[in-house]
Amino acid sequence: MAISNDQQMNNSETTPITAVKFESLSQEDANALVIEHQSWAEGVAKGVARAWNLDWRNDGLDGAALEALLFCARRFQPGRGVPFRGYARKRIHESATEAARKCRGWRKSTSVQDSAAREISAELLNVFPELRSGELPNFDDGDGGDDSGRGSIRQLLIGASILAVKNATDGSAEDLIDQKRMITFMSGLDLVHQWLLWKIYWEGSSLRMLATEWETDELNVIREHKILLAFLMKRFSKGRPPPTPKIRPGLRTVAARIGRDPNSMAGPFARFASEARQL
Amino acid sequence: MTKKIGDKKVKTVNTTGEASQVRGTNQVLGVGQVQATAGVGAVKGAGSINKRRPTRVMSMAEREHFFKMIDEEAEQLVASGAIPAAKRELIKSAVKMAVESGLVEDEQTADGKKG
Repeated sequence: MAISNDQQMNNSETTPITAVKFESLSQEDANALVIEHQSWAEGVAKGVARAWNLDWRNDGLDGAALEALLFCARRFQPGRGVPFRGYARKRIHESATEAARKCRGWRKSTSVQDSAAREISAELLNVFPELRSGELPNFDDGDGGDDSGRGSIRQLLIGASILAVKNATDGSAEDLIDQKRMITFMSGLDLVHQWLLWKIYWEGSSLRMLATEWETDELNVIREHKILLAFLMKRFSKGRPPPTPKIRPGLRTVAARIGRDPNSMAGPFARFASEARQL
Repeated sequence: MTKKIGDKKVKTVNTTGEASQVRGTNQVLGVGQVQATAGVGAVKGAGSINKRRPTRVMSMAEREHFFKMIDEEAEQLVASGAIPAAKRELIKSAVKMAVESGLVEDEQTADGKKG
């Protein structure tokens, strides 16, 4: 039986689609939440201070953590079904690390290597934000996962090694050779892979920000990044070089867009190498 | 008996001839009926795609275990040449710092429950 347009409209009027609105807590409830979780937030700040050998009170990490806790408590919407600590932990950690990087203790490092390690570890937290929540980055080794976390640790080490080569500024011949080797190799990668590595490691963009910029799903960028790290690990190792990774279907439109863009066509590493030669 | 391929090297490569013309396409005269496809026999499992892996949460109690793993894995990567030997200590301490910063002492504090 055919349904007329009027009937269809009437049916749609009887079942209106309404957007679900989540309510934030009242000020009293938000304050109660702050009191309840204060010592836990301080624990997050202490963790940051312990990692970088800072004083969590004197270096102002406690204040930054509490400020973030207050902010999160006011914005928290229990109706969403996300536990408060799960929602707030990353933000509290970010706030504490930002305070740490600005404090006097950060600049007062015991050695040059210690200072460099601090910088790399802070950048590593942006590349692997799971670490802020006390989680190891997920890693699939293709054989059904690696429960021990060794695969994840290898990824962290490779990520740190890219950052270490990028940050090498003491001008030693060894550093320059390592840097040149890496830049030359990366300039031979596919454009979309070059831009992914450049944006994450050289420009400090997060994987989420990059996914937004590329108008693609975050998982596409996260998975491609993991594949690239696994590839780089094998490529820089002795032995037979692995085949260059293919671009995943979810990123092919991005790759095509980059290929057409005259500003992106040259590739960031090739441009960087040619600029370095001119200096 | 196998015949060995000698060390004959290719000395010259002749240029390929250019296409002088492209033949025009013929008109489509008719379209046959679409025939039923045979049933798909079986689909092979897609390996590890379907497996959902829980995120590996680190606890303070495992700190030393993780640090030991970082040392071991770093040594292996240095030995394989994946990370520069001169930066071994720098990379190890940077990863340890990043891991350590996410560990919260006594996670089940204060209210005795996890969020």
